[in-house]
Amino acid sequence: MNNELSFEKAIKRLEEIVSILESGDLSLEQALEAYSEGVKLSSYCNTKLEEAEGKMIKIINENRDYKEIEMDNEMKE
Amino acid sequence: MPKKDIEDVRVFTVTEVNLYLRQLFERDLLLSHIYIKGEISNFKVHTSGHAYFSLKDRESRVKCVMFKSNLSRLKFMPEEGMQVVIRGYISIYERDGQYQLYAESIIADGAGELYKAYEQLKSKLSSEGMFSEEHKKPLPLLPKRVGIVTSPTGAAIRDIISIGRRRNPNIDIYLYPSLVQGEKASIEIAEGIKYFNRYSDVDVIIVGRGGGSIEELWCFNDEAIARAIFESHIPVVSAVGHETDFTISDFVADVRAATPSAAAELVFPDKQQLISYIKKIEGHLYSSMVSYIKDKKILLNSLTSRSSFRHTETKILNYRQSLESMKQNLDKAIKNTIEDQRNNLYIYNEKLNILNPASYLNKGYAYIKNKKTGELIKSIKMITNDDVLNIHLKDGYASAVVISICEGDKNE
Repeated sequence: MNNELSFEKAIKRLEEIVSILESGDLSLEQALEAYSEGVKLSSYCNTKLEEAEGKMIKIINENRDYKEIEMDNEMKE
Repeated sequence: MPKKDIEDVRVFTVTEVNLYLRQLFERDLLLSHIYIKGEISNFKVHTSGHAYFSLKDRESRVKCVMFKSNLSRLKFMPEEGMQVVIRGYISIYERDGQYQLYAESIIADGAGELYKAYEQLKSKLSSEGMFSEEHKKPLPLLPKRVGIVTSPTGAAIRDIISIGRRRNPNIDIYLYPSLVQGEKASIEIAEGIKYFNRYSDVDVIIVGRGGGSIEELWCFNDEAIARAIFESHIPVVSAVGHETDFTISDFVADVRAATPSAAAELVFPDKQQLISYIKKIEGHLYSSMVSYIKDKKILLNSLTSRSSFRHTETKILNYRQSLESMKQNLDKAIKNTIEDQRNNLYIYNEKLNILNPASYLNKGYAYIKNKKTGELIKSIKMITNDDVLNIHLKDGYASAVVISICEGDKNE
C-alpha cells in the first residue's frame, strides 16, 4: 500500500469538482483553480489506467518456502 | 449367429423388454411398496411441476421422481443434503430403460448430517458477528494486483484470467494454487489467503472454484477458511460453484460472487468503461466551466441592462446636458456682465468728467480752505472774523483775512 493518490480518490475528487463548478457558487478565481485541478486529475486517472502491462504470477509453495514465478503460457491462453 | 437360429428363437423389441421389466418390478412385493432412507441430492422441480432428484448414501444413489400431485402434499420443500425417508415404489421408466424411485411421500429424517454441521457452523460464526455488514470491506475501484486462490487446473482460473485480461490487461494477476475439494483443500485455501495478507500486496483476493456437487463444494464450508477470510485485511471475494450454491465462505467474504466469472467481472474493472467514464467527467468539467463563464456574462449583461442601472445612466446624461447648458449660460452671463461693466465704466467716466471740480474751476468757480486747519469751507458758519482763508482758483490760490461775516444773504 502506498501513499500516492488512489484511482478512486482521484475519481471522487473529480466528480466533486464538477458538481461544485456546476453549482456556480465560486468566484471566477476559485472556478479557474477548480477547473485546472480537474484537468490535472483526469489526466492522472488516464495515466493510471495505462500503467504497464499486468504481470501474471504463480506462487509456488515448497514447505512454506514461497516463490513467485511467471505463469505458464497455456494459462495465459 | 446362423439365420436358422434366429428364426427358431423369439426376438424381443426394446420396448417389449422394458415393458416386461416394468411389470416385473411392479409385481414385486418389496419394490412396489417400499420405504428408503437417504440424503436428497440435486433436487430440481421441472417446469411441469414434477420434481427430479437423487437419493443417496455413502456408497450409492438412486434416481427419484416425485409427481406434482404428491409434491404439492408435502408440508416442506425438500432441500439439498436433507436426510429423509421416502415412501414409494420402484419401477422402470420405459423410454430410457432407467429404473427409478417414484416417491409418494417424503418424511424428513432430521436434517442431513452434513447439513446439520453446516447449519451449526453457520449459526456459530453468525453469532460471532462474522457475517455482519459492518465488517464488509469495499472492493477497490481499480486494483493494481489481484490475488486468486483456486485450483491451477480448474475452470475457475481459466475463466477469471480470460475475463480479467479482456476487461483490463494492465492489472497484475497472482495465483496461489490450491486444492478445491477434499479435506486438505480447506487448509490450503486458508493458507493462500494468509499468504497474500503476509507476503504480497494484492489489492483484492478471489477465492473459489467452479460448479460441482455439494460434497465437492463442501470444503468452502470450513471454519479455517471462514476465519482466514474474516481476518484478511485485504477484501475477499468468494466465488464458489453456481448461482444456487451458498457456502460459509460466501457469507464471511466481503463480496459474494455467483460464479468465478462473475467474480472476475466484479474485481476487474472494464478499462474501456473507465476510460469513457473519465471522458464523460472531462466533458462535464469542460461544459460546467463554459456554462459558468456564460452565466457570469449573462449576469453582467442583465445587471447593466437593468432599469435602475439604465435610469442612472439617463440621469447622468441629463445632468451632463444641464451642466453643459448651465456652463454656457454662465459663460454668457459672465460675458454680459463684463460688457455691462465696460459700458458702465464708460458712462461713469463721462459722468466723472462732468463732475470733475476742475471743470468748475475752469468756469471761474473757486473753493476755499481754512489756511490753518486745511478744512474745506462749505458753510458761513465755519468762518469767524480774522480767519485766514486760502482761496483756490484755476491757476493758484490767494490768502485772505475775514473782515466781516454776513449770514443768510446769498446775494451780494
